[in-house]
Amino acid sequence: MRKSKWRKYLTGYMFLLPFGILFLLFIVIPVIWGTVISFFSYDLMTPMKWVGLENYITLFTQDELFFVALKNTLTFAVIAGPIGFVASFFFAWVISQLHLRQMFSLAFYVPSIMSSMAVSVVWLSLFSSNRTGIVNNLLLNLGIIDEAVGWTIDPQYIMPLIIFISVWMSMGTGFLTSLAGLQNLNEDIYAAGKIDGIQGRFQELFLLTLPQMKPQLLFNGILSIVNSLNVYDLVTQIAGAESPDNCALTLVGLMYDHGFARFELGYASAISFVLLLVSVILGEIVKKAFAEREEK
Amino acid sequence: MRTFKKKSLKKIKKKVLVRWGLVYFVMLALVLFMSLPLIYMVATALKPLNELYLFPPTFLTKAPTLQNFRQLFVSASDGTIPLTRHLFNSVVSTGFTVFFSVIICSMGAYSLEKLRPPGHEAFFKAIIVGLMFVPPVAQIPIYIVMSKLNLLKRRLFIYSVQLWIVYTIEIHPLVVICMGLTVIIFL
Repeated sequence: MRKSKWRKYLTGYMFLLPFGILFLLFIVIPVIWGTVISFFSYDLMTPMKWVGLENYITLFTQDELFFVALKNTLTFAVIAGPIGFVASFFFAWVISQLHLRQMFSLAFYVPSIMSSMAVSVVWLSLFSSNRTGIVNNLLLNLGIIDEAVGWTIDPQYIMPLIIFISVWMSMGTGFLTSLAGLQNLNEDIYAAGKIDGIQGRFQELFLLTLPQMKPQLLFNGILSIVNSLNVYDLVTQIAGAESPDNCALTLVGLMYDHGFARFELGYASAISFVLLLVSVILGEIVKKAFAEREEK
Repeated sequence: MRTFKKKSLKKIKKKVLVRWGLVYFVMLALVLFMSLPLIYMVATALKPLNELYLFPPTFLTKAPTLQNFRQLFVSASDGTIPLTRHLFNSVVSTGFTVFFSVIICSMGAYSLEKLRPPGHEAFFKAIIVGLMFVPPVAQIPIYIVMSKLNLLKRRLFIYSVQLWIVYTIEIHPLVVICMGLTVIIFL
């Protein structure tokens, strides 16, 4: 009896081993090492030089771009993340009650499997900044605007446009997780709820469905935050590598600039450490909100 | 009495029908809105050259043509655009990634969920925390390792980076579980 239990555990560990190795190799070690590098001055050619907290001090006291990037990233994460999160769950919930489910889900899922490069070409052409852009042309014809709006060149509009596109794109994974969760709800609970006097779909949604969906919601929440902090290639495609007034500069963009254009790897690592802190803080907030209460 | 009841029942049925019709209508409109850029993409691919920069711009093409595709295959065959190489790279790296991540992650998820060896909870928590890391955070150390190993020019490098990207963004035991369920549902 005892022996077979340990056999089972051993199998369990063996099954976890490949995942564990990759996890260690690609997440744990790089993150630790990145943190270490952030205390050095390093450019790949010359040997690493210990500089202590100097990178961080420069970052917080002299780098104006850093605060611009931080502000943009947080704005983006706080707006685009929740919108995408709520929308993907809501649409999954509506669609799970409809006929022709596959067709509807396909339409919501397809944008997310396309690469952001391919998508941004299309969006750039739709939101072209002169009168030949379809959106501008439409709005002009309808008389809503008087002259062409510089969607991709006016600092005022770039961020909203990027948020809009990224919400459009980010729906997919969260949508599918939600849908899969919704299809596997415990039916008995609804019968019990009816007897207990729960009326209407919305009451059902808030009292019965949402509590059962906590794991999916947690996963979606974290994913939407990470995705929105991670926005980079979409931004560079829409706004260009150097956006006007740096209105679309994100932390990842700043990190790439320092890391892979100027090869200030220590400094770039300091930026990415800040990014790490931001994502862990936001992630913890999400976790607090959706974590499954341990009922023991 | 009886007729009255029937009538009210009919009324309620009608009301429900109208409401569902409305839901379907709104959802269909949304689907159309969601897929507009994709439709536009396909439409533009079918546009002949002289229609591309027309003013006023057109959404759908007037004279659809496969000229653009022919052009692509012509450039591919005379080597201007190494399309087959691009295609090969994409397919191989995607295949590699999907194959390994599905196997490795389902194994891990199965172990965590069914075999539950001691410490599985801690491991799961670690994965959740790992999920919170924005992938570029780890990019610099990985770049340094790869450049030190002089793998930058080798294809293996690209595959491993691809694996890493998919691993950190998309793959997570929970996703694998959900993916499995989704596949079952869709089949």
